[in-house]
Amino acid sequence: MQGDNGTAQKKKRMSCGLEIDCPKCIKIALQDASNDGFHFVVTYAIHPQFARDVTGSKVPYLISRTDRLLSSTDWSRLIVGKINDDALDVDSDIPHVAFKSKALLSQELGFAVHLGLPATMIKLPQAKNPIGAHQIWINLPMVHPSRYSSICDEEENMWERWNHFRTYCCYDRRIGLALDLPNIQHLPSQLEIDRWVGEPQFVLSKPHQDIIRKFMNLDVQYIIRGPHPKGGDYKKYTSYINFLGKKLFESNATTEYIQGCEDYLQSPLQPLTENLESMIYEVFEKDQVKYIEYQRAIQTALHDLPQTGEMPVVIVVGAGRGPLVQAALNASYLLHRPIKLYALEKNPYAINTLQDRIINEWHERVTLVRGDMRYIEITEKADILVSELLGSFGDNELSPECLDGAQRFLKPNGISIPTSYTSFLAPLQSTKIYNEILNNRPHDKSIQNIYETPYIVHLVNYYQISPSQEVYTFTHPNWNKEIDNDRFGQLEFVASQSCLLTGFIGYFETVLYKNVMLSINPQTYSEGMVSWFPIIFSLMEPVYVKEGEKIKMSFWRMHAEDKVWYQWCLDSPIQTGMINPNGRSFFIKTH
Amino acid sequence: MDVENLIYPPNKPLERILLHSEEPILYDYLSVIDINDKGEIILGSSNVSAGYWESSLFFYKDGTAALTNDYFHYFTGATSISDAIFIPNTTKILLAEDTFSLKLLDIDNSLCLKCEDFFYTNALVQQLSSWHTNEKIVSCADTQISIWNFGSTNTSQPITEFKNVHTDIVRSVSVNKNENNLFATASMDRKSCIWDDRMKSPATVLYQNDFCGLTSVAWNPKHSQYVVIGSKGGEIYNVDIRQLKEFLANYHCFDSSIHRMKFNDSGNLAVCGGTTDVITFSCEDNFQVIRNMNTHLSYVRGLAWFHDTLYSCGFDKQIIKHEL
Repeated sequence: MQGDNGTAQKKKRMSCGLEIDCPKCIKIALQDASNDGFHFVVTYAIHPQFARDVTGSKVPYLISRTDRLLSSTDWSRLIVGKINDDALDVDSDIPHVAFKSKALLSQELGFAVHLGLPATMIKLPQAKNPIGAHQIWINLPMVHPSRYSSICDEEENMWERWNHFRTYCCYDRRIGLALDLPNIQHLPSQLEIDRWVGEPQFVLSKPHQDIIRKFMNLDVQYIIRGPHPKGGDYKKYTSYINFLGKKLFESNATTEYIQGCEDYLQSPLQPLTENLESMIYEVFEKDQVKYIEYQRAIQTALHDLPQTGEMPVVIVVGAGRGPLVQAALNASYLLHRPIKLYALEKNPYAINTLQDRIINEWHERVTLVRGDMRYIEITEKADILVSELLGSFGDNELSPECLDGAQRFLKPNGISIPTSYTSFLAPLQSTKIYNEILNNRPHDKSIQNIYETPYIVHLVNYYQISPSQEVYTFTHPNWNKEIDNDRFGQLEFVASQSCLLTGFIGYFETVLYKNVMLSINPQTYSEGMVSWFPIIFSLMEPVYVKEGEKIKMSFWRMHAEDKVWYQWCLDSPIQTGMINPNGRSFFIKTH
Repeated sequence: MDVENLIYPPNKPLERILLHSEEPILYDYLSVIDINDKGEIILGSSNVSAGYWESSLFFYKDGTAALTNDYFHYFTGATSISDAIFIPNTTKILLAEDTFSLKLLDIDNSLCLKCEDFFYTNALVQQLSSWHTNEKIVSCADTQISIWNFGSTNTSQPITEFKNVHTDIVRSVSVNKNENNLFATASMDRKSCIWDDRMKSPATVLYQNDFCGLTSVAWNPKHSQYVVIGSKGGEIYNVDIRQLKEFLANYHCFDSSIHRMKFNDSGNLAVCGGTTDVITFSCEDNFQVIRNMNTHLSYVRGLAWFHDTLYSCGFDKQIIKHEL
């Protein structure tokens, strides 16, 4: 099933594995699976019928197949091991059962590590200390069969069991999920599925299109398990999975742009103290939607300006490499309304680019001013002040402080584009991110430090527990005598199902002008816009929240002479201490 | 190839070619044994610790031949054996293999048994059990129970499949020889159920253990109100089907999982598990130990009765005959 018409069809690469319990010859099994299009095989490393005593004095020398049957690269890339159920009763109440199971589990995992298998799949045990440096895939059903069994009185909640286990294991990132998709008639609710999407996973399947579509954004692997197809091979399964990779994958410029950034932590930019580099400008400039909307806003504002005979003055502050300058020029041309256009920028290297554009593209129609908008003097006053100083949380690149300074050269009845921006927060479940933060700790930073720092992340492996809520807003221009940019917000959310709170996601919405808006808030998301990934404010430790419980948190924006910072804490279901008090771990420098 | 004089670089692995043997090999791991009314025996052996997980099934004319591996027929399997039984009233054997396949073997005049037909289950078969009055066979695999009828022409599908009852692996299934529609199961979900395959809700919980999974079940053919259940903890429980969820008697056999339990027609029970023991009991409501035999050298895996003679096989490559 290759692309039609010979054109390279866009699709998601579907990594697909085949579960074969007991093949006679592992080499032939791998070859057959590969011929059918599978990328890896899931199989028992030790034969499930090989009952043996590894605790006594006569421990058999032979454990399983010799490791020399395959090369180490084959073992480490192509085989995922399965653990015998007998090895999983490590917490049994019966002493001899637990004792034997522990020894068996130790041998089974040890053998898998010796072979160099990339991962081992086991059914969820009550084990406290899984060992091994490689990954453990916990195999469990998305819906526990007790939900629909006629002989069960009570249902076992699969997610709670999983959560309990991985909490014990300190959310170790080596523990992943291998989820059994349920039969069609036993599909769980959308809410439950969303919660599973927030888990680190690998998926077992009989294809279920809607569920697969949800997992499509994650790089999951698919395992096919079941009886040998009659009279044929497994090719049709891999063909189907690949077909789904094409059919369900919603590819557009957006997905291509952000592929590779999934769940990758980025520190928020500090453009006031550091100059942005060329590559960063280039990345910004790829966002079509943002510039279309800015142009629309400028055009509307320009149109609204009364025709007094005086030429309108437009000042673009923080011009960068000039895209907003171009947008202003476009608006002017479209309305046949000439403007006096200024571009203000402090980055000397961006100035270089702007100067080149003035000479070669804008034909001297733009006046370039080099300097910091908070201190520079511009004698002419603007009718329209245009800026794009927004970060993922809106104000986190100090747009308020900058525009407070820039409004010195705005006419008293002049307008600012953007007119306002509002920050939003929502509670978040993502052990992936929690672990990423820990595992990317620079050696000179403490654990407290890294969790008190916000990050910009393109989240895929997460579950947003509740819809976001407004925290605070900034409006421009701000003609108050005393300008106070400190803010405080207290928010209350309700958990619609039991979950694990690992932090908060932050978004922003901005009103550029009148009804022209940009937003990364999921409720009002600007379709196709890629410039901003959400921001994450972590908790020091994940907190278990029961269904129906309230999640309350407090959030501050504060400042000192040379910096601005955020601090936050959780008030319910538990009270935490202040996170990032006085900006001890993270702050935004004002100089 | 003369291996003794082969000079080979010490750090390179010797490439071994998998050559299928002409003669069937008796592997160390004898995992399955069954006897039919004529005293004919089948024995399954699988190579579970070697590089290639192969198996051989042997057919012996009687017990004496079995003890000396004087086989009359054989079958080399595609992989290791899950279970094998005679299909009563036929000249056929049902072989379950670890690739989820069920093979119907025909006993005819040739040395090598012919595979007449094969079907697929959805998971590894744990045990097969047959009613002796007809050609129905019940199999348990993962959480599913399937009933096959080899008397009819269309056997490629099970006549009934029960899913979504047990919530963990069903390790054992045993039929009520006196009633064609009743059987019992034991599962790692700690429950044992009795089933009537004619009912819409076929299963009723017979017994539930609070401490560990249930690994074996055997329906008493002489006193068919009794079912014996074995657990992972090495205990056996005698349960009366008229008094659900209570047991009449229990016995701690050994500190290991109960693997197989088989009744003979006189109501004597043989038990084996993760030890070298074979214990025989007489069971009415209580367990009375007849003998505790410890002659195997490794785990005992298979048990089969021929009248009052018990045959056991294990991972020590031995079949042992025990006379009561």
